[in-house]
Amino acid sequence: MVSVINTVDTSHEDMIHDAQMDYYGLQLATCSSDRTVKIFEVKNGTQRLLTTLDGHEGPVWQVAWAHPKYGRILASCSYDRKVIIWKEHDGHWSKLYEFNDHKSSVNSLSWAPHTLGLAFACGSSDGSISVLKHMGDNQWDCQKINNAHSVGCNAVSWAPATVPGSLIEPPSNSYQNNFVRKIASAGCDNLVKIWCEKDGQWIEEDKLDGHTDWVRDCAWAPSVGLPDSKIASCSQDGRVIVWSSSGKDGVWTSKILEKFEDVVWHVSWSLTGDILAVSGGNNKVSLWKEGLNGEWTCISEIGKGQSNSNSVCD
Amino acid sequence: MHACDDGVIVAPHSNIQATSMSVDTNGEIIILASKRHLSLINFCQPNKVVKKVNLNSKWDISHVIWNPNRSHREFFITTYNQCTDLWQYNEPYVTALTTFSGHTRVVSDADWSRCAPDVFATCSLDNYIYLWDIRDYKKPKLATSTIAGASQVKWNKFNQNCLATAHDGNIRIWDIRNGKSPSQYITAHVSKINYLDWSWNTESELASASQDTTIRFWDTSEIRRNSKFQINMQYPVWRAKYTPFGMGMTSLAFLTFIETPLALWNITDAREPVHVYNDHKDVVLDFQWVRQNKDQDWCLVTWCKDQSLRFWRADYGLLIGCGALEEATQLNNETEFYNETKSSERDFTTNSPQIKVVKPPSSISSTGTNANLSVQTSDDLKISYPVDPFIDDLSSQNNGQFLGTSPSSILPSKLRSSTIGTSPHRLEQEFQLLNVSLPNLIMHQIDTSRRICILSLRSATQYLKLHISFPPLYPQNAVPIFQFVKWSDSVSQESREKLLKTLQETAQHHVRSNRSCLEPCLRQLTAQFSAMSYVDSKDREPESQPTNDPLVHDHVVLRTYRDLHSIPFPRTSGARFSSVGYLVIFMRPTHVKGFQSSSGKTPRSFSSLLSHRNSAPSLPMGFTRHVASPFSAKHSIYGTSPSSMPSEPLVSSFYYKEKKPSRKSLKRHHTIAPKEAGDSFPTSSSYDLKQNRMHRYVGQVVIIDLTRILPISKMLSSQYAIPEASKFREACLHNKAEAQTEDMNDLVELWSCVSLLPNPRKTSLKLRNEFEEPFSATPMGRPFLSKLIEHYSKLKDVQTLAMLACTFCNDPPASKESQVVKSSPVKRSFSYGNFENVDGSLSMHKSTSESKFDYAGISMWFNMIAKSPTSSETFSTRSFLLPTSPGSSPDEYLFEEPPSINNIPSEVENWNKARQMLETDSKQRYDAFKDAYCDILSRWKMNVQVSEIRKHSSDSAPLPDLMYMVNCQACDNKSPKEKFFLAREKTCSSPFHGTMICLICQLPVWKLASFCSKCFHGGHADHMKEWFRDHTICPSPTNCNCECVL
Repeated sequence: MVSVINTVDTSHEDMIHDAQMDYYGLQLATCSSDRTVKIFEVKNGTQRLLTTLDGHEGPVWQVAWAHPKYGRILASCSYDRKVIIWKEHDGHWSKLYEFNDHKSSVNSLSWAPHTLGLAFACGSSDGSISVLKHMGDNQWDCQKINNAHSVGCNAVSWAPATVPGSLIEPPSNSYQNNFVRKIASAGCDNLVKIWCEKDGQWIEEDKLDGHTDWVRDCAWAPSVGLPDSKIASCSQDGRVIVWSSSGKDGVWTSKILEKFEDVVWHVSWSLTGDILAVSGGNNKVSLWKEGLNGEWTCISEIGKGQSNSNSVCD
Repeated sequence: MHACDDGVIVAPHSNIQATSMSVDTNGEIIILASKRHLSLINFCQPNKVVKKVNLNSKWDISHVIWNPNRSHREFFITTYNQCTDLWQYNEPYVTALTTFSGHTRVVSDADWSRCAPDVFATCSLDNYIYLWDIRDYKKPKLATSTIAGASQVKWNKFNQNCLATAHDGNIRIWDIRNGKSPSQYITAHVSKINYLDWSWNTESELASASQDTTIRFWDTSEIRRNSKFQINMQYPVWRAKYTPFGMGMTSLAFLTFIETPLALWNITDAREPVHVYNDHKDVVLDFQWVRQNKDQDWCLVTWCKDQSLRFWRADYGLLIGCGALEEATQLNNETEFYNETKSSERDFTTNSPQIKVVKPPSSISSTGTNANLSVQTSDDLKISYPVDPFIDDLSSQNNGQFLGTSPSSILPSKLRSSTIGTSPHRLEQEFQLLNVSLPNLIMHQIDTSRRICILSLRSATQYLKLHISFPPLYPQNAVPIFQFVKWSDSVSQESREKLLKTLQETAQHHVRSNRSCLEPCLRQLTAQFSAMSYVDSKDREPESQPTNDPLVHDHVVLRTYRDLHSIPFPRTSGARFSSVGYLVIFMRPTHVKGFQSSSGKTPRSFSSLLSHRNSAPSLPMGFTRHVASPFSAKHSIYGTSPSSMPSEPLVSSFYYKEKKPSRKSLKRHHTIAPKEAGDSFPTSSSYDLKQNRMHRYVGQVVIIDLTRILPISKMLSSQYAIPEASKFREACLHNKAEAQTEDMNDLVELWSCVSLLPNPRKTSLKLRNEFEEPFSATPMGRPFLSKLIEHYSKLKDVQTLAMLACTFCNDPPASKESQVVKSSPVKRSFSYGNFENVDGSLSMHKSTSESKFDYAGISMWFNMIAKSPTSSETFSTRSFLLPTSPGSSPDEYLFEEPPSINNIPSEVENWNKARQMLETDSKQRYDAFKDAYCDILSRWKMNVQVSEIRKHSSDSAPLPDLMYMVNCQACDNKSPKEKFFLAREKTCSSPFHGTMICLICQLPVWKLASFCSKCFHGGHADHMKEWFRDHTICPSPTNCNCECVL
């Protein structure tokens, strides 16, 4: 059913903290404690190191690709409190912009849906979230949500631009108005918070309280045009929770997917939003699928020792 | 003497090379014993040597031990080689009284009895254990021999007849009344026992620390000879001493190639250490818990190989962490009593009888009561937390910034017998369960009866004192009242407000669900305070820090450490779905054993990395065996003496352990240059681990293709044809065949069903003359489709959803096209249905015959899947009547009725609406399916398919109406033509200035572009070529219907 199509030897000198493929699945960006970001071209089972990006002064926690309609743009965030935007021009990568306004490690970064323009959000251990929008001419407009999470913000994730709730409403004349700008964020206050931009201000729309320890990651499920929204969150307490909202009343209901023994670090949705990949401190990856009855089942587990083998169980 | 931030006082004695240390029972005199001297140091003036006694022995003093009994507190013994000396200290004279000799090999351990003050025991590898009475030094009071030599001898703290000895990995328990043979044998460890200690709380409990990396706890009253439990340290344990308060255990690892692994544990919950002492620059040789009197805090005195004495005050949080809480809360009730009896307690030479009134410590022992409990022990179990001597220091340093409240004023006031609140027990319980071993936090007072709590926060530059009072209703939706009562100038009004806000929010959040909030509040507070003081001290550093301060380095370390508390622990494995359906997995490599903390869990914050390095410099389990004896290891370390740089925790160091300690320390010694304060990020800058060695530590990134388990099929996406009016059935059957090749059986059935439905663009067929109902009103019309859509929505099969939406498109461009046709009746070879033949009759004929066939087929299929019986019956009968209905062809209809131009819904529009197969009011929803599907298709670079789908989108979609789109704010307001030229000439300097956007792939055109000179639509040359291979009309979704000239 599933097969390993590529195994990339990154030659990073320290632990890898994130690996992301671009929009077309052709290039892979990895970042590491060795303070570098590397970009590989992965094609037909081969790999080619395109570039190594130096510029961070601490471990690089996360990388994210922007939508290709803005060109080949990659953002990275690091312990050194910086976010760096990298851009390729004629096969040459260079630093386009450096965002330097956080007082502590920047832990997470997420590009806005491309229909909202070139914009991204980042969350830091200083507790704040910054939303930066490109205003043209390499000018970035920064909006800051201060004290978004006391102690620190661990993850940010954008909502899909077409919010299903609005689909039921009568069509408005301007399609643009139907776009929403929302962010889910996870923090050390054990909460997932939902932020919404209204009249140029980011306001806290909701607070999802279900974890008993730091929330390490949250991910807004991609929209396939259905009226309900889903957010997955995972925590130090080992719980993975899927939050869903029908979109009508704005009430979020939680469902505990599983409680793992060890910390869960990542939750990631498949592109149709029906499979959730969960990974954490136990060095294992499990895939969860929602059945027709709304129950989540583990359909696959990829653990230690299998990463080098050529197949995973289904 | 330097007072560091962590409450440690360092007293360097660079000329004393002592190997052993002891503090007398009153906590007044510290003896450091070296080969040459005995150095006596006053506890209160630790920098000064009060008395020096020359020894000039050729042997190292292996032990120096004060008599722990207050009646004999002036005596101490020293052991060296085969002898033991007895000394007496009568200030200011130190007198050597006598030498006890008898052993034929080195004395390995000695211990004073705590019950018989004249008696001590020695043991040696000569297989003898001697008991000596200092009143009769000529021969041992008792001699007993064993087959194996003893390495440890320890008296029971309660029973004067009981002692324990360690022989390799075994423990023997002796009753000295029967000295011939041990009363118990315990097979304790697989390798050598380094230390034995009896509990302060329970007569029968003892702990053994071993080379096999564990500390095990034994109960001699049980027949069972299994250890009650153990603490797994992952490194050989050199010392493990019970704390004289609570349920604590101080452990000392002996492999000290990393900073000192001295840690404090709570033995009732030994998953994580309560505290890690990590200021030491070298091996800790000895340590002891000391308290001068009950008004003082417990203090840990350590003697380190870096030739410094260090004094670590045990703050309230630490005591709580060690389970000394019950005693602390008792104190509330007994304070008054304490104050009264203070004077008599100060007389330490005799045991004051009043102390017996105090509750026996049996209440704090979880294992049971003790009849033999001596008064003295109960002394030791008392703690007095309210006095914080460091506050005095600080206030004087800050020139009275803290408006003088003497420590005594913080003392709990008079006992209040009446309880105020409705739930004092609940509050009491919360206080008891409170774990306040938080950084910077000092708890001054917890008073259940008054429902208040006073604490302070202290950092290098900042001080805050907080008063919390709990309303009677708390925690039932009543928020405690927080109030800062004192602060240093460095804490701005703004930051105080910020802290208060955090506290209130956190409290509110918890009490709303009637949960208690104190601990979460304190955690938030300390974390924020740490972050604050970090930032502050960074900003202030240039002026406030004298550059020649020898402790600058320490400050840096501490500050970085604090910052790390709020930073999550790095993620070292993970799985990320990529946008095309691949799963990207990165993991730690499989050949490496992951870190196993005692709890088996990965820590949450980055700070654990540092404390891990300090507390568990462990070798992998397999290497413990190769480690030499403690002494030889000490010497090997002695030579290297690394200048420690604890601010650089390697992330990988958490998972990988260096095998050769000396090598690592050597390397670190010369690879790391001192850094600027702000730059000391914990990184992997120690590149001593070279790439060739390192990269095997870094796992590979594996990319797995999971597109096959997605609900949509990539293969089908490229093969699907959108059923158009002209080739509706063929397209459906084509799709069916494609689904078959992909083994997607439900889709095979779906497409065969759909192929049987009437062409949705011709569904204006009335069912019968007398029914003014379109086909869509039948159960096979809208109800059937909405069922399908509901089902595939659940499956998240956006592909099928989008295909259905396109197939049964709500807004077939037909009506628009009819307009176009009317205005410019150009003959077209391609269209959406009505124009493929100029010959209308042929077209009509064809569609009628099609519908005949369709209806017959549908009835068959309908009976087959048998929906609700009534409707199926009605419908099947009706369906057979269908062919009789005379064809009021949609073609005719459309040609006859020009579309209305005004906004009044005409009959035609109503009819158009009614005949739709899809729900008309959720048009946007279908567009959303198409958009989502297009998005996926564009990731797969199926641009032609995207354009095809987009042509079926309703006009609300935000698609470019020109061939280019400018993403530049500067250009956005310009007219299309202006924009075009701006784009061409690149006058705008924006790097994101989109030149043109390809209509097919929606991406900027960087390379060869081609566009229509008539309608200005276009895109990538190859994309346009591909499109016009199959199409003749412009791909623009705006239905410009231009026959493009490229």
